[in-house]
Amino acid sequence: MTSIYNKLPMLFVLIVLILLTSCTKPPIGEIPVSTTQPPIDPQIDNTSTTAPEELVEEIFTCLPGVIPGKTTRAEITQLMGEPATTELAEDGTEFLYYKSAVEEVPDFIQIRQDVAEVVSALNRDAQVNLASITEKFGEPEQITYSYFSQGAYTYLYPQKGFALIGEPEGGQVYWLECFISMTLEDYLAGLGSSLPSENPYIR
Amino acid sequence: MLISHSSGLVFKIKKHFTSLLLFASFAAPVYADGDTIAASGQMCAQGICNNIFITFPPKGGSIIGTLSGEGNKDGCSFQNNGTLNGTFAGGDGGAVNGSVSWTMTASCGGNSISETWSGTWEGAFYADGTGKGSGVVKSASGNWTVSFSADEFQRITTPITKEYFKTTYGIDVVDGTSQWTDREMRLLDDLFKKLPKSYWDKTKFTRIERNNVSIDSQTKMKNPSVFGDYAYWNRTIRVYDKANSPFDFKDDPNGDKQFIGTIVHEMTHAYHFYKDYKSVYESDVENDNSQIMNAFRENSRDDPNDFRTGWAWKPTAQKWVFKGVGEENKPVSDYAKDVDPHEDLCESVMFYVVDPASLAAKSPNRYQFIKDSIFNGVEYPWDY
Repeated sequence: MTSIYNKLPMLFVLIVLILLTSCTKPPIGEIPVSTTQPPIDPQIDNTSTTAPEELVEEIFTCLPGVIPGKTTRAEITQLMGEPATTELAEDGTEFLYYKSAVEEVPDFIQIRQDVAEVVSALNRDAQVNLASITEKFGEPEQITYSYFSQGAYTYLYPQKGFALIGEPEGGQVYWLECFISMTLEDYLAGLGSSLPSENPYIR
Repeated sequence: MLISHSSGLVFKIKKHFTSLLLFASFAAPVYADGDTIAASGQMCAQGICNNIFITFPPKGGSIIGTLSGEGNKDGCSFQNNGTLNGTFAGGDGGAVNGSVSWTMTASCGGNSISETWSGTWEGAFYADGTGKGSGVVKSASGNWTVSFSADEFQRITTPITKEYFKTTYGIDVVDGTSQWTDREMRLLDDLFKKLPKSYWDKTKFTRIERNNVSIDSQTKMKNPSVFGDYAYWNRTIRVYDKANSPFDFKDDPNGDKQFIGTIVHEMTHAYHFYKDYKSVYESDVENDNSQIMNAFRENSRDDPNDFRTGWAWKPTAQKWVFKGVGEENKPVSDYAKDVDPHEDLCESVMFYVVDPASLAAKSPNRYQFIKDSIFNGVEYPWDY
């Protein structure tokens, strides 16, 4: 007579196999950064368990490993070390500045209640360009002018949790800003409140 | 000097001063004012000469000038003052003709007399920088000679064409929605000739296009406020009609300085995108980290070792902020201060060439940096 205990090893293997085949989504940090993936429907699927900021993570990261709304200050310093400079606002918001390839454009993290709220940095991936962004996320909710450089514009995807500064004729993306997704109105009233309404460049 | 025998007083003067030569030697002024150049020389008759100073357009047009002379001998003195005008047919050997008139005041002992004489002069101007001919006042005949800058004469009379720019500089000068005028091409050529090799060789632009108004690449709306721009991806400078409107510089009634300044500004964008002898930066961010931009930003700081005392990107405002407060370190224009470090550099070079006194006064640091690091010591007159 065969005891059920004799079948346990086989059952264990079966359960493991079932689990492996059903697990189609690897951890976010392991998803390769690529612009060669097939286009994603720009309309966010409400049934998906993937948060909008994680969709952003699938195509680019403002700063690798730092996810607005998720990553804590301790995790940030563990990942990136101590910031070069910090500032503390009256409301308790903390601003962390890290050195970047261009000293005057530091990597930036805004911390509220011990969690990253806003992350911005120069685009460090040449594969991330306006064409790949549009392919992945569709047209921006709004395009505004930018103070970054002559010919640059700010492309707003607030509901998808990011904005970027790019240059349409050359197609390059210069600077990225990631944040907890919000409405366009909220973005323009807050993070984007200083964006120029007219082209600041006259030559 | 053209002088008549018909007056008794003149005859007396002729007798006393037949060998009088006034201002025996004259250097020709060498300067150009737009399309007109200056010349100087003498009008002489019977050994007596007056100085003449004239301006004329080498391509043809009106001549205007003055005549003067004075002398003393045997207790008598005389003084001549007058004008001459006329027309130059233009070009090498072009005919000159016109009229001359002066008032002679002569004093002998206690007696003096003034008399006005008029006559004509004719001859030709030549590309070698000389002019000569004859004249008649009343019944007296004489000769005149002048000299001027042959280089300026040839510069102005040589046709400036788009092919000339291609052949001479390797630059495509192109009509877009507006057309290059002769004046604009002349200004462009004058500018190119002034620029040192250290700057020119690194501009690497290949095309300069003339358009009436900037079109916003996103909204497709016209933006008449734009003077010019530079597109690094196709190495093209675009100059708009607005560039002819005086804006930045004093004493610029025709907008010539503004036009030149706009082009220098855009050329400097091309300059800071220079990577090496065979390539330019293909990315604005990569360019931000270039040697020239790093050096310029460092030089424009109050403390060269602390970027927070100069230009810095403020991420919460998505804007560049200039934090320098040093008196020797002010951006030269509001535009330079309000936008970004690239524009600061381009504005600074624009003033370095067109209005260096203003740059030297507002930002000696920037002036010295451009002189040493970009223009290889070449400086320009305080007034372009």
